[in-house]
Amino acid sequence: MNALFVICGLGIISLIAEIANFRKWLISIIVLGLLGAAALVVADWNTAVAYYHDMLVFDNFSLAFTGLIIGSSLLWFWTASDFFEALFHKTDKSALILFAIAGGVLMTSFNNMAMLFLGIEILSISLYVLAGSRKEDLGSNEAAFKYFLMGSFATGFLLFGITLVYGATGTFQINTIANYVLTHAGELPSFFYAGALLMLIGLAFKISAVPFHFWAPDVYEGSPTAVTGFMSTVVKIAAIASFFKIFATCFSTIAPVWYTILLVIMVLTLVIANITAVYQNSVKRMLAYSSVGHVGYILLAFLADHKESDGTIFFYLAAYAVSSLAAFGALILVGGKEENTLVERFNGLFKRNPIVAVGLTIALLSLAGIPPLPGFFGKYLVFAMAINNGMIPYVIVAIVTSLIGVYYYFRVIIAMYFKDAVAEPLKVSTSKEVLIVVLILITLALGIFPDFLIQLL
Amino acid sequence: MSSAWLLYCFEAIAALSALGILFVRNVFYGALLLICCLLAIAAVFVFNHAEFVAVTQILVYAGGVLVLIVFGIMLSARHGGKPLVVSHNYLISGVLLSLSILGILIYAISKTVWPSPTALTTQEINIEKVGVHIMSDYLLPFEIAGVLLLVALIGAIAMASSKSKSV
Amino acid sequence: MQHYLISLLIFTPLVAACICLFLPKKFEKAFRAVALIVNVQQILWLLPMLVGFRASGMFQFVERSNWITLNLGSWGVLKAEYLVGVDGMSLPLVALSVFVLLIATISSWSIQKNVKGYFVLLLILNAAVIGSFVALDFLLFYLFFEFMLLPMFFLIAIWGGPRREYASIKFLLYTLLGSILILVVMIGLYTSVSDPVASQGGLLVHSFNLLHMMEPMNFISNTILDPNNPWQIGWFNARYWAFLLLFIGFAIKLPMVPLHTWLPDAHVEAPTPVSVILAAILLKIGGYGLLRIAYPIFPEAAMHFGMFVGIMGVLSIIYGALNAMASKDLKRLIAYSSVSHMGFVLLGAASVTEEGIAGAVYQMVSHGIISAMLFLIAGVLYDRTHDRIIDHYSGLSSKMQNFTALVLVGFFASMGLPGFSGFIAEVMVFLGSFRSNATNGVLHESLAVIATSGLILSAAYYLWTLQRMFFGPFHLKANIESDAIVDLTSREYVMLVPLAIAALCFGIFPQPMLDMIDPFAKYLTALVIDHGKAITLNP
Repeated sequence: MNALFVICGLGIISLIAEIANFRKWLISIIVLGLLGAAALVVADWNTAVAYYHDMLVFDNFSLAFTGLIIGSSLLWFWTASDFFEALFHKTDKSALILFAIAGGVLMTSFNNMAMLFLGIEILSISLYVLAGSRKEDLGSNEAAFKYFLMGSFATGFLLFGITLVYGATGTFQINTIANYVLTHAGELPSFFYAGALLMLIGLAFKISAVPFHFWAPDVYEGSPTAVTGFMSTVVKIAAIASFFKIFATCFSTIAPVWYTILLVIMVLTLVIANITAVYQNSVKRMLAYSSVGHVGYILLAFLADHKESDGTIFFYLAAYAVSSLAAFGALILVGGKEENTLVERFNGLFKRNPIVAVGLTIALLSLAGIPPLPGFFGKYLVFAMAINNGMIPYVIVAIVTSLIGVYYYFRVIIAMYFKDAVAEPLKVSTSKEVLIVVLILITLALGIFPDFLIQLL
Repeated sequence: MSSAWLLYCFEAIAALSALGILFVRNVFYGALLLICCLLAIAAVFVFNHAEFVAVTQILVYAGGVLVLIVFGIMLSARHGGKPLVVSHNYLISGVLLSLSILGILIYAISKTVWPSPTALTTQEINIEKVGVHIMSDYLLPFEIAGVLLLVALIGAIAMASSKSKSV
Repeated sequence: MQHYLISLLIFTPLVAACICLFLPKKFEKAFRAVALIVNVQQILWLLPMLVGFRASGMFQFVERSNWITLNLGSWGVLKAEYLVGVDGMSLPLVALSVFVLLIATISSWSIQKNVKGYFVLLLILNAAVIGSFVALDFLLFYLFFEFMLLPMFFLIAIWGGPRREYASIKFLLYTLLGSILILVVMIGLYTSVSDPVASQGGLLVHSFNLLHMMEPMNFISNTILDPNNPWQIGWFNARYWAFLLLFIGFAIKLPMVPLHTWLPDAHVEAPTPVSVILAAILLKIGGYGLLRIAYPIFPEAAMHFGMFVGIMGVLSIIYGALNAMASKDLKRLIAYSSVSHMGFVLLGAASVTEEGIAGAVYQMVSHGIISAMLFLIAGVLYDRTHDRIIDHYSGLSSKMQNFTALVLVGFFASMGLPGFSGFIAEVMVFLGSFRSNATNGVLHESLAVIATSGLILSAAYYLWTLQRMFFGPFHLKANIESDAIVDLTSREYVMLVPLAIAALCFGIFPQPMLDMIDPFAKYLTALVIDHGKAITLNP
């Protein structure tokens, strides 16, 4: 809870920075503040407390995901530091990002549907604006507009779902709803189920699962690369956490109703996202599809055992977040000012800058699930969980799609090592080189010693 | 008895103006009809003892959102000199889709067992209670809604402002 | 001290790789020196192991510590250990790897392009290779197994020949497919096997320990791979499927016809030292995996599919030899001869007899030595002329007498002439496959008879090659400068002579190594036959 206050406070501080003229120190203040927030999360560990009439509950689940969000945000600030130097006001951008993080924290810790809704809205509205921050670029405008329309549409579904669920149960509290569903099994009105399904659709939009994913590639591609990195890590973590929370608590007892639908969504997500990713010429767009594809694996774990899958999902997301941040960090560096991320742009990157090339390689290998990188353990745990629950055909589908994944990740790797360089050596600041090394070390540590992270939940 | 008549009147106005939106081609008239529809629905809320919702409806939709729409139409219509006109593409699929949704809704409504209306009318809902709730149970959402509005404000400024600076 | 020998073997190259990463790029000599020091140091650590090894079926120099322990709530505890040790099969292979890696490092002296990256990758590969031969925990094995792939991929991809892109991707996709099949079985085994020591008091500890997996008692009842009640999937039960998946996974690595097509391409494009490592060490992981994992864990499936495995082995022997005969490129010829010789490993394993299995292990070591030598020979020629087409040379013996002498040794050794290590291995495999019908009825005698024709074919293509390239009047084709044809340099002697001596030594004095391998072969044979019977008895 205190972490949330700190993040909101930082947002306001960054607004004041413009007036009080301490812009230069702003990023340092934010980083320190976020570190403080992370420390507060650690301090609150193992103390499940409900705040403000059960509006928010910070149990270990929420704290772990909050910690993950804050940690990825910290790394994100490091990768995206150039983003704050360009385009419109630095203070506005950092305020929007911080409020988006606060929204993400709300989405992991809500105990009341109203908080969920507010969290999603705060997160989304900040991102609508950030997606459009390259004002001269048509793609960025398109991304902002598309994201706005689709996001509002999804929110509409979600809101309608919440309303129907409220109408049936008379409460917004998710644990009360869960109890109500348990005690009134068989006598729930049909519009309760309709509400649950509408919420499923609304949240599927937010986690960008196929067939509700069609906004994602355009938005990811059009937005500034830094913002895309934020979307595919922090936003994804928050969205998945809220999805898990709603469906593992409120609607866990009516699993038969949504199970088949989610199964279809999962298979579609795995197959369509991974196959479409093969045909992309832009690395950014390829990563967008791959990030949609990773949702499929998370859903597989969730479907295998929706009560016990939190640890697996948490680890998968952590592994995915670190690797994605490294990949997007490299993308920012390679793309340059014009944000050109076509595959050809990566030709001969190993010769142009070996550190960036190796960092990106390790990130992509982790995303592809090659041991001993954390992506492998994430997938391993998911598959083991699914096999244990007798979902062998689905595991086979997932394995085939991850092989397809290897193919498209390796396309980039091949370009980096085999093709001749198109441009002169890529100069990168020391801070970015240190960042890449740090990310590589985190990735390796997560891969070789995965247990300390999974053990949290 | 007369209040029931009035209720039906307002419902009819709402439905007719909603239908009207479908058939007028000038967007400006459409917006006016939308105001009409939303106001009629606000009246329906009043008759259902939901005064607070009615007031919110008028404030937010009729007062805020629609004024924005009308402004938008007026500003964008300036260019061509002609009124903004909508065209009716996808007529058949649109009709089919709406009819099927109507069918589903009618089916769902007819299947649902509604709570008896007498239980509800005894409950007096007033604005004071809403206010007390907001300042006690729902204090946090209320505050967070403030953050939401702040974010929207920053966003609006960011989008609108420094177009020249960003080059 | 003795207790950490294996870890030292694995981690020294890793530490050295890290050190190399931080050295500036221009210190080319330093990287070579570091790699050489690591290799020599590894030999020094290997010696006490070879001396201290007691011939028995047990694992020795075992190191064990907790690595991953995960409490996963209602579905038990995931437990992976850092568990390494050597037995009569792995120690000779570890020794082979260390020896060949030293020679490969010396051979890498001629690498000029991006020396830093090359040696870092070579050191990582070194660690991964040793690790996969000593790991006794499936997850650990898989990690090392998979991690060999990437350095190898980059070594071919960056330092390879003109078609390196195609070759490296083909290599990657094939071996990745294999490792995914192995992964599927690993997940299945992990869900089915419990740790008998740790799982007490209602706590279910899922184990990756290979030794636990070999014991049918440790399978949890009604799980997918439970020997008493395996799930039926399609034609076979899950255990048969698991064996087949493992078999295909390792057979790709071996490589077995028809899954061998990546090998000639990879060899032709790879630089000489990488070819040496690929042929001498990496292929052995396939055979090692079959004997370490597939056979002891799924003994009844191994018996059931024995004939199939044997036929595939014979097919590889014959088909590889025929292809070698038709090859125009010297390196491709050697690559196909590798396919042919690795077929003997399959045949020996399939027989499930002491002689057969000991022969298979002996063949792996012997082929490691001989193929390293052959690829170095091809490299010697390529370094001078950048041409490996057999028809472009004739009468080389007149210009390169000493080279020709070593080529004769290499070719004869590979042919399986008596007095060379290949002879011992192949004879044992033949004996095993002959006796198999009488002892356990897995293989038919005719397989052994057909396999002998592989020997004749190999004699044919080697002698033909000798005749075409080395004898007759000196003559070169296709713009090869005749000035380039000079005899061996001292560095090349250093690489080739030890290998020739090793091939001869193991051919003339096979007993020391056979003493090492024999207890393992006895143990594995007994285990596969006993457990195989026990499992098929209670279906």
